[in-house]
Amino acid sequence: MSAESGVAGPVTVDAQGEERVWRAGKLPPMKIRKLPEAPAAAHVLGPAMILVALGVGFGETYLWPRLVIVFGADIRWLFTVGVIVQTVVMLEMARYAMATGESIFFGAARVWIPLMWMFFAIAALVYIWPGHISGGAEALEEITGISWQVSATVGLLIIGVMFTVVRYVYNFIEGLLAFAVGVLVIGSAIVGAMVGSLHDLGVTVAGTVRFDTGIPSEAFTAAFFPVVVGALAFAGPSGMQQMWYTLWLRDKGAGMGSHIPKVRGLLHANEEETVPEAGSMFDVDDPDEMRKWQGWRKWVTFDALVLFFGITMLVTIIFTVMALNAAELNPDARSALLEGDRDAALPAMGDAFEQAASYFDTLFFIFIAIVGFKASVGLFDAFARGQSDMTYYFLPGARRLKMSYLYALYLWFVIIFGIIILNWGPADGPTSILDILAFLSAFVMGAYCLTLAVVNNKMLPKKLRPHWAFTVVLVLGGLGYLTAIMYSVIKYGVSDIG
Amino acid sequence: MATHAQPAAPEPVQEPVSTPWASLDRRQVVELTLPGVLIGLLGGVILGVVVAGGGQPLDVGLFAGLTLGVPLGVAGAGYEILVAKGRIPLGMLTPVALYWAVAFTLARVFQTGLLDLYAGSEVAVPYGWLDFLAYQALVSVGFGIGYWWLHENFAPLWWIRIRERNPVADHLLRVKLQVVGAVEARRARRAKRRR
Repeated sequence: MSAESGVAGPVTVDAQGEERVWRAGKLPPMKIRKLPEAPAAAHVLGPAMILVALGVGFGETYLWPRLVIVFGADIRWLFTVGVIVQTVVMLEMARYAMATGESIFFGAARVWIPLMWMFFAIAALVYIWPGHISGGAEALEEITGISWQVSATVGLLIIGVMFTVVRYVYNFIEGLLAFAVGVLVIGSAIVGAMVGSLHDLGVTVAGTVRFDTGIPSEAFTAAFFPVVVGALAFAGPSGMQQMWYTLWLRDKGAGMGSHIPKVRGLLHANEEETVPEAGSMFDVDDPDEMRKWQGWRKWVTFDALVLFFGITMLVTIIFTVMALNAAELNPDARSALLEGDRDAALPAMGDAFEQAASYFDTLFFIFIAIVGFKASVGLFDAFARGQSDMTYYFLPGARRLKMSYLYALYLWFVIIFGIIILNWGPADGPTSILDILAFLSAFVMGAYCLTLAVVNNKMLPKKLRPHWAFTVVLVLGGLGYLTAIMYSVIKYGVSDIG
Repeated sequence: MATHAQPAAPEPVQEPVSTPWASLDRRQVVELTLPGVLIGLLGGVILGVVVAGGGQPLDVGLFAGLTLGVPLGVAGAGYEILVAKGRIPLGMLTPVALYWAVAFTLARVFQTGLLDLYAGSEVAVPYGWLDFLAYQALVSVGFGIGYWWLHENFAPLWWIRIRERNPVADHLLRVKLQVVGAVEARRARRAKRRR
């Protein structure tokens, strides 16, 4: 169909009859360019590593161990479901980003521009609050006694300076997080080896793959249903992390992303090349181009299955073994968590782990601290990346600035705002809108699943569109997230899913 | 490795290859083993920090860190030597996981054996040695993946640094690049056949 109808059409010439383009929606068409060769080795690491570094966080180290202590390992099948949906989302995000070099925000705008601005607004509302770094800093205070405001403020300034002085922001963050993930995996394996037993491991693995155990009736309460929903949403990357993954893929030079310049640190922003007005498409009728495309799909599938799915499962299995061990040695922990209010959950978890071994609670707080700071590094970069991408392409007049300047603008805005809030305001956001923020972070996951299903099925050439089974997973996943959060609000009046 | 995705990326070697191992002197062997030793010691450091940071006396943390870090470091050196000799293929995950299934389990047996002498079996192996061995072998897969990850990301950077003075490091880098050439050629042949 033609561009005028707003639906994707075949490869054709542009208005001047000079260059072949792919028309998708009413936005500027994508010029036909050569797809680069995929990396020769599947194990050349892709941006999934960043997603793993961000995704293995609060859910895996806190929410899921807490659920396992309360309900036992049988509830872990829900985690498996959550990670499977997220793996499919990741593969589909990569499909659009690698085929076009555009972010999923641009893809959403091709469907309907207000949809993209909705994501812009949600990101601005949810991610400007420095809650993640304050959580990490509070855990650090438990171990070292250093005031959390001081460590969080210093942490924010370090992040800002780091992303300002480096030439290519992506290369820097990839190297840093590659080391962090390596340490996390080795550390988890060693701690897992010190505690737990063959029996705990067997119970955990069985709970992970047994889908017939259902959800315990105790979970259907105002206190725990939102936690179950939150744990499901926090299995793997949560909130908008999957959407930002498309921007990291572009900077990695994956697929057609190689035709878009990389974001540079502020000190090197003047070296930025000209950014094209839209992404590009390759010739899907050329067998050689399709061969290269298969190479890219293989590369990203390795990323999704081995790095994302494999490492996320590995780390959480080890944390579950730790939780089972803690629950076994400290049966009171379960009743304390069942009866205690939710603000008391973190100290209760610390107590539970302390009963298991004297160093366990410290280990627990160390992980929470690492998760908080690690998340801040990734999330500030991601937020600035996403907002600058949408601003550059869709805010009139914004192209007078380079993309890297916009990136720096958003980065320093969120850092300075964060420092002010950390010292003089509510770190998670104003109390009066906390419920709305929590609701939005779960709502956005449902929204992006459905958006992605439409974008990939409407805006890509037929040969590149997803298998119907993947579309079904996206639609069911999207409806599942939305239904769960709506049910939580309507039935129990609770949207705070942490 | 913080690189832009490039076609000229390394590919795992499918078969072990011969290397200029025999020409190395002791100093060159030691510098080749550095990545493996450091990753092994890192494991000990993590454990030591966790134990000492958890309120245990410093000497207990040191004991825990050393008794695990040293055998893991030795095993890491062993891995590097086997790669340098061409006995283990470069870059593939399965041989790394199998190597560490044995080496990590032995390192834990060494550590737990010492603890057994000091504190008795009820503390060291509460579920018995058989359970212990099976569990350690399974958990070792996690360590193997972490080792592979760090090695793949950072060891080549060290080889680039020492390649001028170390023929095996130079050889390992060349092998990676040659394999890329072979893969590219294979792809080109496949594409030609399709046409």
